[in-house]
Amino acid sequence: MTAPAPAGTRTRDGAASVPRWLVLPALVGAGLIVLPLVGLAARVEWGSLPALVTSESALAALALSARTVAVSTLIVVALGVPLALMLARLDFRGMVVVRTLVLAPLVLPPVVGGLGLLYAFGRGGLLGDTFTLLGLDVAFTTAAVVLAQTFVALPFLVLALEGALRADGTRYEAVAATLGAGPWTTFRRVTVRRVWPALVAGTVLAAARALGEFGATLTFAGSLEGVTRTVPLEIYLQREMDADAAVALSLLLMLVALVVVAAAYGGTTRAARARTSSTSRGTS
Amino acid sequence: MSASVPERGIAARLVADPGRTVALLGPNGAGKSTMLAVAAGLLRPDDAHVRLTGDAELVCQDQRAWVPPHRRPLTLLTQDASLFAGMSVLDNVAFGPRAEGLSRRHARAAARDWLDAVGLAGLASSRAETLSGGQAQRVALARALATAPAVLLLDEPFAALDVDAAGAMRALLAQLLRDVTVVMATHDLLDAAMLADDVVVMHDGAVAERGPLSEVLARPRHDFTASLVGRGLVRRDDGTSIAPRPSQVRVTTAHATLASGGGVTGAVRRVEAHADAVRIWVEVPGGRLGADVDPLTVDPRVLTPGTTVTCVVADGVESYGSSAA
Repeated sequence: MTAPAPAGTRTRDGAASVPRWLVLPALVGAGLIVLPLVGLAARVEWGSLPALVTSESALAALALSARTVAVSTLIVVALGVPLALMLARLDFRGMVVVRTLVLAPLVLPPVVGGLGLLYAFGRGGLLGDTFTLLGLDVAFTTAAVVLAQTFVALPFLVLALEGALRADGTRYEAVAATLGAGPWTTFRRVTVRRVWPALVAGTVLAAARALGEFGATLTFAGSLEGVTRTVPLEIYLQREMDADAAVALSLLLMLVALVVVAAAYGGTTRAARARTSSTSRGTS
Repeated sequence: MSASVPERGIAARLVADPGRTVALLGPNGAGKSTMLAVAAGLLRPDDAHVRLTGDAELVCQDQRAWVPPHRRPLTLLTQDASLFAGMSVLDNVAFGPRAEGLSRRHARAAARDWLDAVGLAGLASSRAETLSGGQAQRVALARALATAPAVLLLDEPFAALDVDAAGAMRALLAQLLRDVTVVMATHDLLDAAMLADDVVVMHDGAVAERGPLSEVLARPRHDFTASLVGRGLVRRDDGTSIAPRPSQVRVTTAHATLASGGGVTGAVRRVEAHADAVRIWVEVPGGRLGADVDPLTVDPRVLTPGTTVTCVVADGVESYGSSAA
């Protein structure tokens, strides 16, 4: 019992067992997800890759995507953090309705979202006349791309952050208040610090979702090179004309996706583990 | 300071005099924590009053006024230290002064003094989440005192600590709280006995009795207070009460005493084991008496609940007025 464990062995959790026959569907599921990624990587013309991703149209799309995603991510954080805070902390009638509506873009087909944007902010839409009077014509401009990306990405941040805020509760905020900290100081120095991992994960996921945005952008912003043709739109266009170029850009997005998932979920998993271990240490 | 909460079945008035420590003594569920949360502004019942008098004159809550928690010169320390994780110990203590508007440097200087006062200056740069429970609670105390509260509210400050840490914390509080106005909720008689000047006993959401520590503990007027100090309490027809210690009550089985006379007869309600004796509680007219039974004179095996016994209270047990003086 007390003999030192030989190097390389570890103690496993004896209770962690799974029904053996579930292994097969699990493997099929993993394969279904992994195979397309492998397929894409196998199709890449590695020799011409640098030339393909630095072509004029590819560079224009990449630059546009980088710009729009940066702006829409900033807007997502600026609007999503207050929204998540209200949903988590306020208790008002109609709250369920508000949350349902706010989170709808998560499951809404992006094309439908694009149509909605068009009839809200486009010419002749709900706010279109107001915008026209102000000399703004949003539809089919870069601003429309940012709007479309914000529309689909915002719920990702709100969902992640609201959950974290609810789970964390208001105990520390109450402590800060009795120590004389006003709501803004408490939010800045206590709340944000406590939900930081969720805020980072939510932001990264929202940025990734904005980067991949296709349907709503195409519907609301169109596909103008250098103006509204982001990387996903460029990939779809090139698919017919130059499959190699499409594959090269796809590979780029795939790499971004892998990095994002590793950063967002790897980070939260580590944080969760750290929290679990610190809790068990605290109670021992 | 005074606070009352008619909601939640709690109708209690609590008054803390400047510079004194009031122990809010009562069992779990008596409404002690609710009273403190209302005083701090963390709960807002429709019909509560919280008022500060003296130097820090302020109506915190009445029918019209409402002052949010961060504008009240009250600080609440609970059984859970609730230190801010991810901050250093020093910055935890500096949190209050910083929120008050002090510069980082001045706030940290003040925090260092308070850390020193609780004997943890050496941990200033440690991260809050690495401390033991006892250390964390002392840091939480320093953090609370660093805000220089007009009233410090303590809600079961020792409940989550082990025996040694609780003892150290009690000693620390006894030394640091001499000039601070304190309201301390506790279910533990020892906390009150060691720290309080005045005692308010709460039972079922109401104040059972109140007064200076020695008066309340030596002359209990409520059954709960008597049981808390481990004494019996009998109210007599002439308006006086006696509260003898179990060691001051001799018990004999009923028929044996007919000869000697005197004493009161009652039924055994409860039998407890104590270090060197068997303690029984006897229901007698006007109240309850505790008695330590010497196994050599009475066979404890016959003292099952329901048995009729006669209690003789020793001479010299003080009798006092049943209602508060």
